[in-house]
Amino acid sequence: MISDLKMGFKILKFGHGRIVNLAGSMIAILLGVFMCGISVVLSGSFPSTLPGGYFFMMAEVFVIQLYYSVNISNMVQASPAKKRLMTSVPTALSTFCILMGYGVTLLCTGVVSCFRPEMLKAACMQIVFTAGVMGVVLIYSGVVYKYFVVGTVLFFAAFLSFYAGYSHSEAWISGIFGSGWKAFGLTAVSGLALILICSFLEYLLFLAFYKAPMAKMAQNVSLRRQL
Amino acid sequence: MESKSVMKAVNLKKKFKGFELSIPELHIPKGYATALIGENGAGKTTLLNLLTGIRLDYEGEILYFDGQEKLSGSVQERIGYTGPGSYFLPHWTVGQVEEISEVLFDGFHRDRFQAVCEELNIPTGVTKDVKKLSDGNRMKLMLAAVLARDTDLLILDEPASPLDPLMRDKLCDIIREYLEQGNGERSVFFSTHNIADMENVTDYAVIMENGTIVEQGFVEDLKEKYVSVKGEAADAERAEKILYTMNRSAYGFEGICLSENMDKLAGMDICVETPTLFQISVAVMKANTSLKF
Amino acid sequence: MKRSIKSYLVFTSRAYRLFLYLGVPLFCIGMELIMVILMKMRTSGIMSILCTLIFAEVVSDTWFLGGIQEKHAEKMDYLKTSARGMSVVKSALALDLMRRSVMTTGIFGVCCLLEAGLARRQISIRADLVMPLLAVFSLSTAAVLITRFFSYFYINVLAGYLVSAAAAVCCVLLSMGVVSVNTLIAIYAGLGTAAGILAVWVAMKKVEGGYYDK
Repeated sequence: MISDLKMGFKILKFGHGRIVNLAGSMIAILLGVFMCGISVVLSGSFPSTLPGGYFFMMAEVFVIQLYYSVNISNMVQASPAKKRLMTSVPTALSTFCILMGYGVTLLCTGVVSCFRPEMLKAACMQIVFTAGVMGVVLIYSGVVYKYFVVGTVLFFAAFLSFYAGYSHSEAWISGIFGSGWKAFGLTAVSGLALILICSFLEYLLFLAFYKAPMAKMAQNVSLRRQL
Repeated sequence: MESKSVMKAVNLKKKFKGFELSIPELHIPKGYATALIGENGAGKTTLLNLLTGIRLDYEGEILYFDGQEKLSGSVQERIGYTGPGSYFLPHWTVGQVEEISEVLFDGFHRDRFQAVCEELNIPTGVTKDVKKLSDGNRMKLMLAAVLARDTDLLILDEPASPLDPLMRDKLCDIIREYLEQGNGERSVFFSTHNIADMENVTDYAVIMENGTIVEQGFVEDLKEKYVSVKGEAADAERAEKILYTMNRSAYGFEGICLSENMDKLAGMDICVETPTLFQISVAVMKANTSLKF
Repeated sequence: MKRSIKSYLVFTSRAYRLFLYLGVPLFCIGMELIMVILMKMRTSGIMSILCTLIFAEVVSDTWFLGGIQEKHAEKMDYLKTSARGMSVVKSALALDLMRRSVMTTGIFGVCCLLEAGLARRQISIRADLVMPLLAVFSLSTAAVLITRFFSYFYINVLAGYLVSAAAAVCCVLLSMGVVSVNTLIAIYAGLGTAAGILAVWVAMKKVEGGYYDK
């Protein structure tokens, strides 16, 4: 796993549109940190405020987009590293990015809840939503670079379902996890478990689809011409 | 001429919308340079993509190196491939090509890469983008990347197309040198439209049409199987029924005939020559093409 | 006009047309029906439709003229061999703006009718039709002006989210009484005019720049 992660970071150097994708990722991370704190506070008055986790998920998408552009090259496709570069390496990279984002979400919501303990319930809601959406995006990453349209449609459907459920999730979260810091801890651990399960599913999807040709629509215009 | 095979394919099938690649049997001999010849859209690039593992969604079986091995990491390590289109990403610099080759292939040698780049006169400024190179220089860079590796098989998709005549001559020298250094263990399989330029380095030819192989064999054997016939205009009509393909003019006819049918041309005033690989290829393609003449 | 429409359609794929001309309107009207009938909303669902439309317009632009303003974009050599090539591109850009206005008017028009008919809400032409139309036009055009420099789907998604969030914030400010409908209409009209002119001008400058190496 560690060697796959190292390989992933090595390959990122060769990705197409490094500046644009890394800038997009940075913007998404900054928005994520900002929204992480703000939305816990705002969720009382504006329950449909999108939590920060959404933006961390976007940050992962940019990184994987940058990584996966390298697989357009026939030189890479004809190399002995092809299977590894299309299965275990992107899984390691995406899981790392998602876990970093999840960690920041826990930190931000935890810090805000320390100052505003009445916001703990909202913080738990955020964590559940974040973990769910991050799990969905991991599975999405396993599909989208081969079956873009199907993957994107299913992703938006899943995301909108989570979003609709998020606004009304306060009652069932209290029911399952209880309240207070105990609930915070339980939701954090459950979220982590969900992310790791989705990471494994992502790996299985990469394995299942790695023989299929790359999806043109998932690439940017200049790379699309190459396909 | 019997030989071991460096690649063997059986019942190879791949379907697209409006096109099907269907090859019941393909044998590429070991230790020789094999040319894959065919008209545009015959399926040459598709076949090469299957053989190199770029496309894995197909039916059939492909075995490598004396029919012992299926495609795997260790087999791909021994194969050097160059091809058109998306080989390098456009934003890569020559320096990055060197770096990523080292990441992707264990047997890549930087010093050899730099030496070949210098020999082929490739502009190697570290900041020179691949997209700024001409098609010919990009081809030379691909060749440098594969020649810098320890390989036993080169699969080259249209290597001569973007090259100038001088560089095509150099390419033939490179292929010859590669095979000689291998002592019969190395092989080259290349697709080409420039049959005339590549003929002097071709030992074995595979001719494709409409997704299938219509002729294959050692060039010497093909030159015995077919003969080039020239004759008088008066005999053209009679000869047309016997010749494999024929071109007519006011002064006479010229065509390719199967050697076994030569006796049917008895009594005609004809001139018989050994055909070139170019003539044989055009004749075979003409006989199988859906192009209208 | 016929030639202009052909010029525009030449740049659109079948999938793009299916998504934008059929999928998006059906989705928006479907959403409106759900909000009015199933959720029995008495307050306006126009804000949700507005944000959805802006997002859809910005994201779908990736498959239309995404990357046309990129540094090493397609130089459109085939169009450049014709004396009419550049006017074809200009027509496509201009007609896209027209299409956006017409489609948005149509969608909001149907939504207003549904709200008036089914939710029995009193419709204000300024607040429920003109303001959302100008919001979609101006914000999505301003967003694609930026995203056409990049041609990445996820950049368009991020940009689409940011501008639809901006539109949502404006709607919240309107509902809180911080800004008036007329102020928003004026801002959107100004932004829309500037963005529309720039969208055509910048793209044409980049495409015409393809004739020169420097």
